[in-house]
Amino acid sequence: MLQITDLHLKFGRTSILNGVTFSVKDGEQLGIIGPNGSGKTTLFNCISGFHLPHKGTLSFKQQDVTRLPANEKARLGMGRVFQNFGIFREMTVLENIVAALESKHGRILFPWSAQYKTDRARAREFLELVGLAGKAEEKAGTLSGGQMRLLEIARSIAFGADLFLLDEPTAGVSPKMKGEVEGLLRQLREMGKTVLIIEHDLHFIQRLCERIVVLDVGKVILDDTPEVVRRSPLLQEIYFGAQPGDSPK
Amino acid sequence: MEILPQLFVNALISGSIYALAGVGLALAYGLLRVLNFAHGHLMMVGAYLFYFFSVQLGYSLPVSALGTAVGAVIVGWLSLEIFIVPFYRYGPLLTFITSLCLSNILEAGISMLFGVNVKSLTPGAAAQSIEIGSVYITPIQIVIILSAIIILSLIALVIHSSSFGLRVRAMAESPESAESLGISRRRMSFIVFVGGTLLAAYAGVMVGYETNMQPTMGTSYTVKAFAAMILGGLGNIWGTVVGSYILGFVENFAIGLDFGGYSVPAGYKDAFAFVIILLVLLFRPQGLFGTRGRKA
Repeated sequence: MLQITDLHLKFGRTSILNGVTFSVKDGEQLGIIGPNGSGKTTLFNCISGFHLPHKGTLSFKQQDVTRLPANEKARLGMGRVFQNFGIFREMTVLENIVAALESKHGRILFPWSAQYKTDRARAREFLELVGLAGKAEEKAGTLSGGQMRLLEIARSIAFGADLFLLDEPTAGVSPKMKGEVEGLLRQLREMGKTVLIIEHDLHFIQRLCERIVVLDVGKVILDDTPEVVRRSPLLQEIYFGAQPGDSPK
Repeated sequence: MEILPQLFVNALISGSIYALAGVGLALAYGLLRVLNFAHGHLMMVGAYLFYFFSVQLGYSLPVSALGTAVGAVIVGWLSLEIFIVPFYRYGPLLTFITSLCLSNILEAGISMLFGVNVKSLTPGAAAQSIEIGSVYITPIQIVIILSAIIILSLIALVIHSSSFGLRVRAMAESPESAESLGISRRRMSFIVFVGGTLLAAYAGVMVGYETNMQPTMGTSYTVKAFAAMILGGLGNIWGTVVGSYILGFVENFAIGLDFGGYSVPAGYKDAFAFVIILLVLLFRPQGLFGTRGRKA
Protein backbone atom coordinates (compact mmCIF):
# COMPACT_ATOMS: atom_id res chain seq x y z
CA MET A 1 0.00 0.00 0.00
CA LEU A 2 2.65 2.53 1.11
CA GLN A 3 6.42 2.40 0.69
CA ILE A 4 8.58 5.12 2.26
CA THR A 5 12.23 5.01 1.18
CA ASP A 6 15.08 7.09 2.59
CA LEU A 7 12.91 10.16 3.25
CA HIS A 8 14.82 13.33 4.15
CA LEU A 9 13.41 16.75 5.00
CA LYS A 10 15.09 19.93 6.20
CA PHE A 11 13.65 23.22 7.45
CA GLY A 12 16.42 25.68 6.71
CA ARG A 13 19.54 24.03 8.09
CA THR A 14 17.65 21.83 10.56
CA SER A 15 17.15 18.23 9.50
CA ILE A 16 13.74 16.94 10.58
CA LEU A 17 13.65 13.62 8.74
CA ASN A 18 16.91 11.75 8.26
CA GLY A 19 16.29 8.83 5.96
CA VAL A 20 12.99 7.35 7.13
CA THR A 21 12.32 3.98 5.52
CA PHE A 22 9.44 1.57 6.15
CA SER A 23 6.50 0.07 4.32
CA VAL A 24 2.84 -0.52 5.17
CA LYS A 25 0.86 -3.47 3.89
CA ASP A 26 -2.69 -3.32 2.60
CA GLY A 27 -5.15 -3.46 5.54
CA GLU A 28 -2.44 -3.07 8.17
CA GLN A 29 -2.82 -0.87 11.29
CA LEU A 30 0.54 0.63 12.13
CA GLY A 31 1.39 2.76 15.14
CA ILE A 32 4.02 5.49 15.01
CA ILE A 33 5.46 6.66 18.31
CA GLY A 34 8.39 8.79 19.39
CA PRO A 35 9.21 11.70 21.69
CA ASN A 36 8.17 15.28 20.88
CA GLY A 37 10.22 16.64 18.00
CA SER A 38 11.05 13.20 16.62
CA GLY A 39 9.43 14.09 13.27
CA LYS A 40 6.15 12.14 13.48
CA THR A 41 3.79 14.90 12.30
CA THR A 42 6.33 16.13 9.75
CA LEU A 43 6.48 12.59 8.38
CA PHE A 44 2.68 12.64 8.01
CA ASN A 45 2.91 16.04 6.29
CA CYS A 46 5.42 14.56 3.84
CA ILE A 47 3.34 11.46 3.19
CA SER A 48 0.14 13.47 2.66
CA GLY A 49 1.78 16.11 0.45
CA PHE A 50 1.89 19.20 2.69
CA HIS A 51 5.70 19.11 2.72
CA LEU A 52 7.95 18.12 -0.18
CA PRO A 53 10.83 15.86 0.88
CA HIS A 54 14.34 16.91 -0.12
CA LYS A 55 15.38 13.36 -0.81
CA GLY A 56 13.78 9.91 -0.90
CA THR A 57 10.66 8.46 -2.47
CA LEU A 58 7.07 7.74 -1.54
CA SER A 59 5.12 5.08 -3.32
CA PHE A 60 1.37 4.66 -2.80
CA LYS A 61 -0.61 1.85 -4.46
CA GLN A 62 2.44 1.07 -6.62
CA GLN A 63 2.58 4.66 -7.88
CA ASP A 64 5.34 7.20 -7.24
CA VAL A 65 3.62 10.03 -5.34
CA THR A 66 6.71 11.79 -3.95
CA ARG A 67 6.06 15.14 -5.64
CA LEU A 68 2.25 15.08 -5.74
CA PRO A 69 0.39 17.90 -3.91
CA ALA A 70 -1.93 17.06 -1.00
CA ASN A 71 -5.19 17.32 -2.94
CA GLU A 72 -4.00 14.88 -5.61
CA LYS A 73 -2.78 12.39 -3.01
CA ALA A 74 -6.17 12.66 -1.31
CA ARG A 75 -7.85 11.81 -4.62
CA LEU A 76 -5.71 8.66 -4.82
CA GLY A 77 -7.14 7.56 -1.46
CA MET A 78 -5.04 9.13 1.30
CA GLY A 79 -7.14 10.42 4.21
CA ARG A 80 -5.70 12.74 6.83
CA VAL A 81 -7.03 13.33 10.33
CA PHE A 82 -5.31 16.32 11.91
CA GLN A 83 -4.04 16.66 15.46
CA ASN A 84 -5.91 19.95 16.00
CA PHE A 85 -9.30 18.85 14.66
CA GLY A 86 -9.52 19.52 10.93
CA ILE A 87 -13.30 19.79 10.79
CA PHE A 88 -15.08 22.79 9.26
CA ARG A 89 -16.45 24.34 12.45
CA GLU A 90 -18.64 26.98 10.80
CA MET A 91 -20.47 24.35 8.74
CA THR A 92 -23.09 21.97 10.05
CA VAL A 93 -22.10 18.41 10.93
CA LEU A 94 -23.98 17.20 7.83
CA GLU A 95 -22.24 19.72 5.55
CA ASN A 96 -18.85 18.42 6.72
CA ILE A 97 -19.68 15.00 5.28
CA VAL A 98 -21.45 16.43 2.21
CA ALA A 99 -18.30 18.46 1.42
CA ALA A 100 -16.36 15.17 1.20
CA LEU A 101 -18.98 13.43 -0.95
CA GLU A 102 -19.35 16.37 -3.34
CA SER A 103 -15.63 16.90 -3.62
CA LYS A 104 -15.25 13.23 -4.48
CA HIS A 105 -17.51 13.37 -7.55
CA GLY A 106 -16.53 16.97 -8.29
CA ARG A 107 -19.85 18.01 -9.82
CA ILE A 108 -21.40 21.45 -9.35
CA LEU A 109 -24.76 20.85 -7.68
CA PHE A 110 -27.66 23.06 -6.62
CA PRO A 111 -30.53 22.21 -4.23
CA TRP A 112 -32.77 21.19 -7.13
CA SER A 113 -30.26 18.58 -8.45
CA ALA A 114 -31.15 14.92 -7.76
CA GLN A 115 -27.53 14.19 -6.80
CA TYR A 116 -27.66 17.02 -4.22
CA LYS A 117 -30.41 15.18 -2.32
CA THR A 118 -28.67 11.80 -2.77
CA ASP A 119 -25.45 13.18 -1.28
CA ARG A 120 -27.31 14.45 1.79
CA ALA A 121 -29.04 11.11 2.29
CA ARG A 122 -25.71 9.28 2.03
CA ALA A 123 -24.08 11.78 4.40
CA ARG A 124 -26.70 10.87 7.03
CA GLU A 125 -25.72 7.20 6.65
CA PHE A 126 -22.10 8.06 7.46
CA LEU A 127 -23.26 10.07 10.47
CA GLU A 128 -25.30 7.05 11.63
CA LEU A 129 -22.11 5.00 11.43
CA VAL A 130 -20.37 7.26 13.96
CA GLY A 131 -23.46 8.01 16.08
CA LEU A 132 -23.74 11.67 15.09
CA ALA A 133 -26.97 11.54 13.05
CA GLY A 134 -28.82 13.36 15.83
CA LYS A 135 -26.45 16.30 15.50
CA ALA A 136 -26.60 16.58 11.69
CA GLU A 137 -27.96 20.13 11.63
CA GLU A 138 -25.81 21.48 14.48
CA LYS A 139 -22.72 23.55 13.85
CA ALA A 140 -19.67 21.29 13.87
CA GLY A 141 -17.87 23.76 16.14
CA THR A 142 -20.30 22.94 18.97
CA LEU A 143 -19.31 19.24 19.10
CA SER A 144 -17.12 17.82 21.85
CA GLY A 145 -13.51 16.87 21.08
CA GLY A 146 -14.38 13.19 20.72
CA GLN A 147 -17.34 13.92 18.45
CA MET A 148 -15.16 16.18 16.28
CA ARG A 149 -12.68 13.33 15.93
CA LEU A 150 -15.42 10.87 14.95
CA LEU A 151 -16.75 13.38 12.41
CA GLU A 152 -13.31 13.90 10.90
CA ILE A 153 -12.75 10.15 10.50
CA ALA A 154 -16.27 9.70 9.08
CA ARG A 155 -15.52 12.46 6.56
CA SER A 156 -12.43 10.60 5.34
CA ILE A 157 -14.45 7.38 5.06
CA ALA A 158 -17.09 9.27 3.03
CA PHE A 159 -14.37 10.63 0.75
CA GLY A 160 -13.33 7.05 0.07
CA ALA A 161 -9.91 7.01 1.69
CA ASP A 162 -8.07 3.67 1.69
CA LEU A 163 -5.13 4.87 3.80
CA PHE A 164 -5.87 6.82 7.00
CA LEU A 165 -3.18 9.02 8.54
CA LEU A 166 -4.39 9.72 12.08
CA ASP A 167 -2.36 12.25 14.03
CA GLU A 168 -3.03 11.73 17.76
CA PRO A 169 -6.68 10.73 17.38
CA THR A 170 -7.22 10.67 21.16
CA ALA A 171 -5.73 14.11 21.87
CA GLY A 172 -8.39 16.36 23.44
CA VAL A 173 -10.83 13.46 23.70
CA SER A 174 -12.57 12.46 26.95
CA PRO A 175 -11.94 8.91 28.31
CA LYS A 176 -15.50 7.87 27.39
CA MET A 177 -15.19 9.14 23.81
CA LYS A 178 -11.75 7.57 23.54
CA GLY A 179 -13.52 4.19 23.60
CA GLU A 180 -15.78 5.29 20.74
CA VAL A 181 -12.81 6.47 18.67
CA GLU A 182 -11.12 3.12 19.33
CA GLY A 183 -14.31 1.32 18.26
CA LEU A 184 -14.40 3.27 15.01
CA LEU A 185 -10.75 2.44 14.31
CA ARG A 186 -11.60 -1.25 14.80
CA GLN A 187 -14.39 -0.81 12.27
CA LEU A 188 -11.83 0.64 9.83
CA ARG A 189 -9.87 -2.58 10.18
CA GLU A 190 -13.02 -4.60 9.44
CA MET A 191 -13.56 -2.44 6.34
CA GLY A 192 -10.07 -3.45 5.20
CA LYS A 193 -8.68 0.09 5.49
CA THR A 194 -4.99 0.72 6.09
CA VAL A 195 -4.31 2.93 9.12
CA LEU A 196 -1.23 4.79 10.38
CA ILE A 197 -1.67 6.20 13.89
CA ILE A 198 0.59 8.67 15.66
CA GLU A 199 -0.17 8.39 19.35
CA HIS A 200 1.45 9.00 22.71
CA ASP A 201 -0.82 6.52 24.52
CA LEU A 202 1.15 3.30 24.10
CA HIS A 203 -1.66 1.14 25.53
CA PHE A 204 -4.09 2.55 22.94
CA ILE A 205 -1.63 1.74 20.13
CA GLN A 206 -0.92 -1.74 21.53
CA ARG A 207 -4.61 -2.60 21.50
CA LEU A 208 -5.08 -1.51 17.88
CA CYS A 209 -1.88 -2.07 15.97
CA GLU A 210 -0.04 -5.19 14.99
CA ARG A 211 3.17 -3.26 14.37
CA ILE A 212 4.82 -0.16 15.82
CA VAL A 213 7.45 2.11 14.26
CA VAL A 214 9.47 4.19 16.72
CA LEU A 215 10.94 7.47 15.46
CA ASP A 216 13.69 9.46 17.11
CA VAL A 217 15.46 12.53 15.65
CA GLY A 218 13.90 11.83 12.28
CA LYS A 219 15.00 8.19 12.02
CA VAL A 220 13.29 4.84 12.47
CA ILE A 221 15.00 3.27 15.47
CA LEU A 222 12.58 0.37 16.01
CA ASP A 223 10.08 -1.40 13.78
CA ASP A 224 8.50 -4.43 15.41
CA THR A 225 5.48 -5.90 17.18
CA PRO A 226 3.98 -3.94 20.11
CA GLU A 227 5.27 -6.53 22.58
CA VAL A 228 8.87 -6.28 21.37
CA VAL A 229 8.73 -2.49 21.20
CA ARG A 230 7.28 -2.19 24.72
CA ARG A 231 10.12 -4.26 26.20
CA SER A 232 12.87 -2.58 24.24
CA PRO A 233 15.44 -0.68 26.33
CA LEU A 234 15.75 1.73 23.40
CA LEU A 235 12.20 2.91 24.05
CA GLN A 236 13.02 3.57 27.72
CA GLU A 237 16.07 5.49 26.66
CA ILE A 238 14.44 7.82 24.14
CA TYR A 239 11.51 8.60 26.44
CA PHE A 240 13.29 8.79 29.78
CA GLY A 241 16.91 9.44 28.80
CA ALA A 242 19.85 7.83 30.59
CA GLN A 243 18.97 5.20 33.20
CA PRO A 244 19.88 5.61 36.89
CA GLY A 245 23.41 4.44 37.38
CA ASP A 246 24.55 5.49 33.91
CA SER A 247 27.60 7.65 34.06
CA PRO A 248 27.08 11.17 32.73
CA LYS A 249 28.81 11.86 29.44
CA MET B 1 -37.18 66.49 4.33
CA GLU B 2 -38.23 66.44 0.65
CA ILE B 3 -34.66 65.54 -0.15
CA LEU B 4 -34.74 62.32 1.88
CA PRO B 5 -36.07 59.97 -0.88
CA GLN B 6 -33.44 61.33 -3.29
CA LEU B 7 -30.68 60.82 -0.73
CA PHE B 8 -31.98 57.31 -0.11
CA VAL B 9 -31.74 56.45 -3.83
CA ASN B 10 -28.30 58.06 -4.14
CA ALA B 11 -27.16 55.99 -1.16
CA LEU B 12 -28.47 52.82 -2.79
CA ILE B 13 -26.54 53.62 -5.99
CA SER B 14 -23.27 54.26 -4.13
CA GLY B 15 -23.80 51.26 -1.86
CA SER B 16 -24.46 48.98 -4.85
CA ILE B 17 -21.19 49.99 -6.52
CA TYR B 18 -19.24 49.57 -3.27
CA ALA B 19 -20.87 46.18 -2.66
CA LEU B 20 -20.00 44.89 -6.14
CA ALA B 21 -16.42 46.00 -5.62
CA GLY B 22 -16.19 44.92 -1.98
CA VAL B 23 -17.44 41.35 -2.42
CA GLY B 24 -14.41 40.42 -4.55
CA LEU B 25 -12.10 41.92 -1.94
CA ALA B 26 -13.84 39.99 0.87
CA LEU B 27 -13.70 36.74 -1.10
CA ALA B 28 -9.98 37.18 -1.77
CA TYR B 29 -9.34 37.84 1.91
CA GLY B 30 -11.60 35.03 3.11
CA LEU B 31 -9.99 32.44 0.87
CA LEU B 32 -6.41 33.60 0.37
CA ARG B 33 -5.87 35.89 3.37
CA VAL B 34 -4.87 38.54 0.84
CA LEU B 35 -5.55 42.23 1.52
CA ASN B 36 -5.55 43.22 -2.12
CA PHE B 37 -4.76 46.93 -2.24
CA ALA B 38 -5.02 46.78 -6.05
CA HIS B 39 -8.70 45.81 -5.98
CA GLY B 40 -9.94 49.32 -6.84
CA HIS B 41 -7.29 49.48 -9.57
CA LEU B 42 -8.62 46.27 -11.10
CA MET B 43 -11.97 48.07 -11.11
CA MET B 44 -10.34 51.01 -12.91
CA VAL B 45 -8.73 48.64 -15.45
CA GLY B 46 -12.17 47.14 -16.15
CA ALA B 47 -13.60 50.58 -16.84
CA TYR B 48 -10.74 51.42 -19.24
CA LEU B 49 -10.98 48.06 -21.00
CA PHE B 50 -14.64 48.76 -21.68
CA TYR B 51 -13.77 52.30 -22.79
CA PHE B 52 -11.16 50.86 -25.18
CA PHE B 53 -13.61 48.43 -26.82
CA SER B 54 -16.76 50.57 -26.84
CA VAL B 55 -15.45 54.12 -27.40
CA GLN B 56 -12.02 53.78 -29.01
CA LEU B 57 -12.79 50.73 -31.18
CA GLY B 58 -16.51 51.47 -31.45
CA TYR B 59 -17.69 47.91 -30.83
CA SER B 60 -21.25 47.12 -29.81
CA LEU B 61 -22.22 46.66 -26.15
CA PRO B 62 -22.15 42.82 -26.15
CA VAL B 63 -18.77 42.67 -27.94
CA SER B 64 -17.32 45.32 -25.62
CA ALA B 65 -18.66 43.48 -22.57
CA LEU B 66 -17.14 40.20 -23.79
CA GLY B 67 -13.79 41.87 -24.59
CA THR B 68 -13.76 43.51 -21.15
CA ALA B 69 -14.57 40.21 -19.44
CA VAL B 70 -11.78 38.37 -21.29
CA GLY B 71 -9.35 41.22 -20.56
CA ALA B 72 -10.33 41.26 -16.86
CA VAL B 73 -9.81 37.48 -16.61
CA ILE B 74 -6.32 37.82 -18.11
CA VAL B 75 -5.39 40.78 -15.87
CA GLY B 76 -6.81 38.98 -12.79
CA TRP B 77 -4.98 35.76 -13.60
CA LEU B 78 -1.63 37.51 -14.22
CA SER B 79 -2.05 39.58 -11.04
CA LEU B 80 -2.71 36.43 -9.02
CA GLU B 81 0.18 34.43 -10.49
CA ILE B 82 2.78 37.21 -10.36
CA PHE B 83 1.85 39.32 -7.33
CA ILE B 84 -0.06 36.99 -4.99
CA VAL B 85 0.64 33.25 -5.34
CA PRO B 86 4.45 33.42 -4.93
CA PHE B 87 4.00 35.40 -1.69
CA TYR B 88 0.82 34.32 0.11
CA ARG B 89 2.53 31.57 2.07
CA TYR B 90 4.48 34.33 3.88
CA GLY B 91 1.38 36.02 5.29
CA PRO B 92 -0.98 38.93 4.55
CA LEU B 93 1.57 41.72 5.03
CA LEU B 94 3.76 40.66 2.12
CA THR B 95 0.85 40.27 -0.30
CA PHE B 96 -0.49 43.63 0.86
CA ILE B 97 2.84 45.17 -0.20
CA THR B 98 2.99 43.28 -3.52
CA SER B 99 -0.60 44.32 -4.27
CA LEU B 100 0.43 47.91 -3.50
CA CYS B 101 3.13 47.50 -6.18
CA LEU B 102 0.51 46.08 -8.54
CA SER B 103 -1.79 49.06 -7.93
CA ASN B 104 0.98 51.49 -8.92
CA ILE B 105 1.88 49.47 -12.01
CA LEU B 106 -1.77 49.35 -13.15
CA GLU B 107 -2.26 53.07 -12.56
CA ALA B 108 0.95 53.97 -14.40
CA GLY B 109 0.16 51.57 -17.25
CA ILE B 110 -3.34 52.96 -17.80
CA SER B 111 -2.03 56.55 -17.56
CA MET B 112 0.52 55.81 -20.29
CA LEU B 113 -1.98 54.06 -22.54
CA PHE B 114 -4.98 56.34 -22.14
CA GLY B 115 -3.61 59.58 -20.65
CA VAL B 116 -4.46 61.08 -17.28
CA ASN B 117 -7.50 63.14 -18.33
CA VAL B 118 -10.99 62.33 -17.13
CA LYS B 119 -12.99 60.11 -19.49
CA SER B 120 -16.61 59.04 -19.65
CA LEU B 121 -18.47 56.18 -21.26
CA THR B 122 -21.09 58.66 -22.61
CA PRO B 123 -24.27 56.66 -22.16
CA GLY B 124 -26.43 59.04 -24.21
CA ALA B 125 -30.09 58.33 -23.46
CA ALA B 126 -29.09 56.27 -20.44
CA ALA B 127 -27.93 59.50 -18.76
CA GLN B 128 -31.32 61.23 -19.07
CA SER B 129 -33.02 61.42 -15.69
CA ILE B 130 -36.44 59.97 -15.14
CA GLU B 131 -38.69 61.58 -12.53
CA ILE B 132 -40.37 59.11 -10.19
CA GLY B 133 -42.31 61.04 -7.54
CA SER B 134 -39.79 63.39 -5.97
CA VAL B 135 -36.82 61.26 -7.06
CA TYR B 136 -34.68 61.73 -10.16
CA ILE B 137 -32.90 58.64 -11.40
CA THR B 138 -31.20 57.69 -14.67
CA PRO B 139 -31.67 54.34 -16.44
CA ILE B 140 -28.02 53.45 -15.78
CA GLN B 141 -28.56 54.07 -12.04
CA ILE B 142 -31.55 51.69 -12.13
CA VAL B 143 -29.30 49.14 -13.85
CA ILE B 144 -26.67 49.58 -11.11
CA ILE B 145 -29.16 48.97 -8.28
CA LEU B 146 -30.96 46.06 -9.94
CA SER B 147 -27.80 44.35 -11.23
CA ALA B 148 -26.24 44.56 -7.76
CA ILE B 149 -29.32 42.86 -6.28
CA ILE B 150 -29.25 40.13 -8.96
CA ILE B 151 -25.47 39.55 -8.84
CA LEU B 152 -25.32 39.51 -5.03
CA SER B 153 -28.32 37.12 -4.89
CA LEU B 154 -26.58 34.79 -7.37
CA ILE B 155 -23.39 34.88 -5.28
CA ALA B 156 -25.47 34.07 -2.17
CA LEU B 157 -27.05 31.12 -4.00
CA VAL B 158 -23.67 29.79 -5.17
CA ILE B 159 -21.84 30.28 -1.86
CA HIS B 160 -24.56 28.99 0.48
CA SER B 161 -26.51 26.47 -1.56
CA SER B 162 -24.22 24.94 -4.19
CA SER B 163 -21.56 22.28 -3.92
CA PHE B 164 -19.05 24.77 -5.32
CA GLY B 165 -19.87 27.22 -2.51
CA LEU B 166 -19.38 24.45 0.04
CA ARG B 167 -15.88 23.89 -1.35
CA VAL B 168 -15.13 27.63 -1.21
CA ARG B 169 -16.29 27.76 2.42
CA ALA B 170 -14.27 24.65 3.23
CA MET B 171 -11.12 26.15 1.71
CA ALA B 172 -11.70 29.50 3.46
CA GLU B 173 -12.13 27.87 6.85
CA SER B 174 -9.40 25.22 6.79
CA PRO B 175 -7.22 25.03 3.66
CA GLU B 176 -5.34 21.92 4.83
CA SER B 177 -8.53 19.99 5.60
CA ALA B 178 -10.03 21.06 2.28
CA GLU B 179 -6.93 19.88 0.43
CA SER B 180 -7.10 16.55 2.24
CA LEU B 181 -10.57 16.19 0.69
CA GLY B 182 -9.10 16.59 -2.78
CA ILE B 183 -9.99 20.28 -3.20
CA SER B 184 -7.32 22.14 -5.17
CA ARG B 185 -6.23 25.33 -3.43
CA ARG B 186 -4.69 26.65 -6.63
CA ARG B 187 -7.86 26.13 -8.66
CA MET B 188 -10.09 27.65 -5.98
CA SER B 189 -7.76 30.66 -5.66
CA PHE B 190 -7.92 31.19 -9.41
CA ILE B 191 -11.71 31.00 -9.58
CA VAL B 192 -12.30 33.26 -6.58
CA PHE B 193 -9.64 35.86 -7.43
CA VAL B 194 -10.53 36.06 -11.10
CA GLY B 195 -14.25 36.07 -10.23
CA GLY B 196 -13.60 38.98 -7.85
CA THR B 197 -11.70 40.78 -10.62
CA LEU B 198 -14.66 40.33 -12.99
CA LEU B 199 -17.00 41.82 -10.38
CA ALA B 200 -14.60 44.71 -9.84
CA ALA B 201 -14.38 45.28 -13.62
CA TYR B 202 -18.18 45.35 -13.85
CA ALA B 203 -18.35 47.85 -10.96
CA GLY B 204 -15.71 49.95 -12.77
CA VAL B 205 -17.77 50.02 -15.96
CA MET B 206 -20.81 51.12 -13.96
CA VAL B 207 -18.77 53.95 -12.41
CA GLY B 208 -17.61 54.91 -15.91
CA TYR B 209 -21.24 55.23 -16.99
CA GLU B 210 -22.56 56.78 -13.79
CA THR B 211 -19.88 59.45 -13.35
CA ASN B 212 -16.50 59.36 -15.10
CA MET B 213 -13.16 57.64 -14.87
CA GLN B 214 -9.50 58.45 -14.54
CA PRO B 215 -6.39 56.38 -13.77
CA THR B 216 -6.26 57.65 -10.17
CA MET B 217 -9.78 56.45 -9.29
CA GLY B 218 -8.50 53.05 -8.13
CA THR B 219 -7.15 54.16 -4.75
CA SER B 220 -10.40 55.84 -3.77
CA TYR B 221 -12.44 52.71 -4.53
CA THR B 222 -9.89 50.45 -2.86
CA VAL B 223 -10.20 52.51 0.34
CA LYS B 224 -14.00 52.37 0.14
CA ALA B 225 -14.01 48.62 -0.42
CA PHE B 226 -11.61 48.23 2.53
CA ALA B 227 -13.84 50.44 4.70
CA ALA B 228 -16.89 48.33 3.80
CA MET B 229 -15.03 45.09 4.52
CA ILE B 230 -13.56 46.32 7.82
CA LEU B 231 -16.99 47.59 8.85
CA GLY B 232 -18.69 44.28 8.00
CA GLY B 233 -15.88 42.02 9.23
CA LEU B 234 -12.67 41.01 7.44
CA GLY B 235 -13.36 38.34 4.83
CA ASN B 236 -17.09 38.25 5.66
CA ILE B 237 -18.91 38.60 2.33
CA TRP B 238 -22.32 39.55 3.67
CA GLY B 239 -20.84 41.79 6.33
CA THR B 240 -19.00 43.56 3.51
CA VAL B 241 -22.24 43.98 1.51
CA VAL B 242 -23.99 45.51 4.54
CA GLY B 243 -20.89 47.63 5.20
CA SER B 244 -20.98 48.87 1.58
CA TYR B 245 -24.56 50.07 1.88
CA ILE B 246 -23.89 51.65 5.29
CA LEU B 247 -20.95 53.54 3.75
CA GLY B 248 -23.17 54.63 0.85
CA PHE B 249 -25.82 55.91 3.27
CA VAL B 250 -23.32 57.68 5.56
CA GLU B 251 -21.64 59.45 2.63
CA ASN B 252 -24.82 60.59 0.93
CA PHE B 253 -26.78 61.59 4.01
CA ALA B 254 -23.82 63.41 5.57
CA ILE B 255 -23.27 65.64 2.56
CA GLY B 256 -26.95 65.93 1.60
CA LEU B 257 -28.52 66.88 4.93
CA ASP B 258 -28.50 70.29 6.48
CA PHE B 259 -27.40 70.22 10.15
CA GLY B 260 -28.96 73.40 11.60
CA GLY B 261 -27.52 75.64 8.91
CA TYR B 262 -24.32 73.66 8.55
CA SER B 263 -23.64 71.04 5.91
CA VAL B 264 -20.64 68.96 4.97
CA PRO B 265 -19.15 70.01 1.60
CA ALA B 266 -19.40 67.32 -1.11
CA GLY B 267 -15.62 67.38 -1.47
CA TYR B 268 -15.34 65.63 1.93
CA LYS B 269 -17.41 62.65 0.77
CA ASP B 270 -14.42 60.35 0.37
CA ALA B 271 -13.20 61.12 3.91
CA PHE B 272 -16.03 59.13 5.47
CA ALA B 273 -14.44 55.84 4.43
CA PHE B 274 -11.34 56.72 6.45
CA VAL B 275 -13.44 57.86 9.42
CA ILE B 276 -15.33 54.53 9.36
CA ILE B 277 -12.08 52.54 9.18
CA LEU B 278 -10.69 54.43 12.18
CA LEU B 279 -13.85 54.15 14.29
CA VAL B 280 -14.32 50.43 13.59
CA LEU B 281 -10.68 49.62 14.29
CA LEU B 282 -10.90 51.57 17.54
CA PHE B 283 -14.18 50.27 18.90
CA ARG B 284 -15.00 46.99 17.12
CA PRO B 285 -11.93 45.64 15.30
CA GLN B 286 -13.70 42.44 14.22
CA GLY B 287 -16.36 44.52 12.41
CA LEU B 288 -20.14 44.47 12.81
CA PHE B 289 -20.61 40.84 11.78
CA GLY B 290 -17.10 39.47 11.97
CA THR B 291 -15.72 36.79 14.20
CA ARG B 292 -12.07 36.28 14.93
CA GLY B 293 -11.97 33.21 12.71
CA ARG B 294 -11.95 33.17 8.92
CA LYS B 295 -15.18 33.07 6.96
CA ALA B 296 -16.33 33.04 3.37
